[in-house]
Amino acid sequence: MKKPLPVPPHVLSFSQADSLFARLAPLSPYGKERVAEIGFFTDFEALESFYDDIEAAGAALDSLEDAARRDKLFWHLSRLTRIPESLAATSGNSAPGSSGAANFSASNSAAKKISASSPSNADAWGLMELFLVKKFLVHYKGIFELLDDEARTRFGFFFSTQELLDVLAAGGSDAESFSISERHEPALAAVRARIARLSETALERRRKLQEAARTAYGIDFAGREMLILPVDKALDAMGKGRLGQGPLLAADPYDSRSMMIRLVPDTELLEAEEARRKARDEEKLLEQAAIVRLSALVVAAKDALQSYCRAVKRFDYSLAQWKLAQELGMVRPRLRARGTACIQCHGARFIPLEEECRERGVAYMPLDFELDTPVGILSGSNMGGKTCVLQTLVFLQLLAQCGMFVPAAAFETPVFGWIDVIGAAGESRGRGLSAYGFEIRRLIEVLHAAKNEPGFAVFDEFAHTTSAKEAQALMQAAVEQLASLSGTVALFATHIECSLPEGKGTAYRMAGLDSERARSIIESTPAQSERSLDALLAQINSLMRYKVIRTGKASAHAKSDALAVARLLGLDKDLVDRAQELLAESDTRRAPPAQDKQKERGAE
Amino acid sequence: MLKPMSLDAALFAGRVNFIAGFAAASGKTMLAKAILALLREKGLKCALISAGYEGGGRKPAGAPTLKMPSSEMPTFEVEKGEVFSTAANALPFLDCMPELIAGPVGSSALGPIVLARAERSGSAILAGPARSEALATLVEAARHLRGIDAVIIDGTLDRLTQISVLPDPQLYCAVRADRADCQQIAKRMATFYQLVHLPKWDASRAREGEALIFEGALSSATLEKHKSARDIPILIKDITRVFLRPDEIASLSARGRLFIQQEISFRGFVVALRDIEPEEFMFYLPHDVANSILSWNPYEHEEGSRFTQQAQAADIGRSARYKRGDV
Repeated sequence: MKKPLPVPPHVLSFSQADSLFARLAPLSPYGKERVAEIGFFTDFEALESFYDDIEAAGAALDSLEDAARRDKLFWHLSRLTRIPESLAATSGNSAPGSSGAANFSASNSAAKKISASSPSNADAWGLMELFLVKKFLVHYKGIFELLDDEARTRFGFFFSTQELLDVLAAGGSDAESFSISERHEPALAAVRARIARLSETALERRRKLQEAARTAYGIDFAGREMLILPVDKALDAMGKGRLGQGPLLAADPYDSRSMMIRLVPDTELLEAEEARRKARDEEKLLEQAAIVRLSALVVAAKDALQSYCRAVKRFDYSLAQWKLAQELGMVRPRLRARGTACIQCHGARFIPLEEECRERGVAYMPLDFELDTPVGILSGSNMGGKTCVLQTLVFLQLLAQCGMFVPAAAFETPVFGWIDVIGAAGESRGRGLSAYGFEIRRLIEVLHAAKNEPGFAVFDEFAHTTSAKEAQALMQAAVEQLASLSGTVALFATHIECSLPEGKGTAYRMAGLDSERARSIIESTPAQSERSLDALLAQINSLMRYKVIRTGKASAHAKSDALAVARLLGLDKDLVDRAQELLAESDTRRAPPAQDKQKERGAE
Repeated sequence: MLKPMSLDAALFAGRVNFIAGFAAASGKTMLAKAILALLREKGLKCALISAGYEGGGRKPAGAPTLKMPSSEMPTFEVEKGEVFSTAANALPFLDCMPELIAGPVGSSALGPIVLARAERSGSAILAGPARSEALATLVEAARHLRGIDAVIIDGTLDRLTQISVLPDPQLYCAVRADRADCQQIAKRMATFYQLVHLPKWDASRAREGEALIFEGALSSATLEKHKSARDIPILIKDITRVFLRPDEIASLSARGRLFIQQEISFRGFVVALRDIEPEEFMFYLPHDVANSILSWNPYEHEEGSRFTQQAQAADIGRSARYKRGDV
């Protein structure tokens, strides 16, 4: 299986697929790590395996009929900690046997290398690392026990470290917490008992000193380590202390009128504290020895722990995919063999737009579309949804090739070697290139990539920044060349008229503006410019028929309804009327005279 | 009206208590220790959490992690069952037999921060994360622990924004003043008091129309730049970076209604004075600010304390001055 490729920023930005990635909510740190590794796969088998994982995670969840058991599964996943980096090597996108790299985008071929962690040095471990391993094991075991055999096999769950867990569980007052206990190092029992006795002695002695201070000087420390007293009172107490009438006090000046006093520990207290300190040093050595022993046990179980991490990563990530698919009504894509130039979707939804429409209270139309030739040309009204069609297709293709389900009733597509977007509005440019220059650079890259392996390219208003005549010629040439390449699919959204090579291209148009209704609205509502932009957009939305129609013509061109849309957007009526007149004149000039038409017919 | 002059454990029990101060060495840690002693007297158990601290607590990016604690790091004597935030590399140096219960979250100069429970009485080194989210995670974990009756956060004023992520926090401000800086401290108290009592910003206001939003430091110079702004809501995002005099704040309030990002439940000042009597210090404070002093130095010996009697006298004296308009 090939390694995943990073998604190029301009494709991500055009498709807004990252907004969906961000909604994946795995619960464990390993599942979260997997989300960060999302990339574009070009391997058919790997993608099918990811889809199988999603379905298997869903089945595993469904097998937990009891809601409490499902909650328990989520709880264990969310409580599972990351084990120390030196132990965990969960690199890669989980599917085993990954190797090699491939060009994902025509413009971005660098594959992301994932470095494996180096082995650990147990001497460097401490309490925290052991705590993390214990907590991990407790929750991993919890997950393992909740899964059925099918899920365990699918995701690689096994549990062979009960002994290690038992040893770690010997320290800590609950299932998760951890401390070094006498059960880890029996010699600790005696030392700790000694420390407890000495602590008690010291505490008792301190209490007695405080009590004596209260009796002798009327000073109540009330658990505080020091007190501030007026100078005369402090000096009086200190004097009495020196005369043996009460405990000794140490004082520091606080300000010109008061002093900060502390009880001076007596010999008994000092001896108890010193003995405690020595016992504590002994304890520390024993604890360190126990930590080293426990660390060695953990390191010995490294292989199993790494497998656990991989299993959790794969399962938790797939479970998050399943939950998202349920939430958004996503389905498993049907993949076609590589090199088949055919994309088909039914009821496809571009989630970011669908949600925006819902928020704005306007209708959203899912997309039905089929492209079964190497080139497709989509034309139609301004604001008629051409770009959204491209976005929807790139969105779905990207998700499918990232191993995710797609928001559609059905989606059938080949596995492409790369995907690219040319001419997307708002794409950042660089190196002194104009918008046109940038498009041409991208076109060069796409043509180069398409010669190496089949890919999917969408062109959004290609060459719209240059003169109409030259743009038309350029596009025609690009269409012809792309149509000649095997397996690559190119879809253009454009207002430019273009002829399609026989059998290699399909023309589509957006159903577009409902002209009758638009005219009636424009006539009945003269003051469009006074309405808010939101209201105008809602109106246009209600007049547009966001539907792709396969025209079947060899030449692709449809009217753009530009003037009607401009009027609906509030452009001055006189200006639009004048434009209409000019358009009519231009159409008249272009139309062949009646005599010529007759000649043409005679010739035929 | 006479003010209570000693702290009461009931104020802190069952709550998340954030202790701030105007600067390093303003008595925050000492106040935290005093509150701890108060709660222990009542048999209550605390979780002590550091919000990072001035100086050595923050680990600059790229700086190596310390292997051993430094002497600047605050040490607490904890009792069995008490919970505290500390750093992973400090664990071997604690003699309270720490049991790890949560973490790691955030980072400090001594490595990742963890939450530990003392299995016996002994010393603990307090360390905390600089980042608000990590602090919130620790507090959330600590407040739900069985047997924990209060959470005390040894905070810092320059990271007061951390308070916004905490669950229903009570803010206390530790203040230390002496004869040389008492007027300046009194002004800071007045400004602080005014700011923490501003109403909370309602995000819908920003959508409704124009608003003046101060994101960074707010000084006389910044105000000057916006002097034309009138009759619009004004949001002060970070109250810890307001360097205005109370009269400037008053003048700003006259230009538009002031808001703060997050409503703050401010419970009062705890003031430790050196070489200055409460009577004199209160002379510099507006009445409501003086009334918000919860306690004088909690290490002051209560019985026969000069403060107890003098503060009462001061309260009477100050009231008289207010009536005369001297203050």
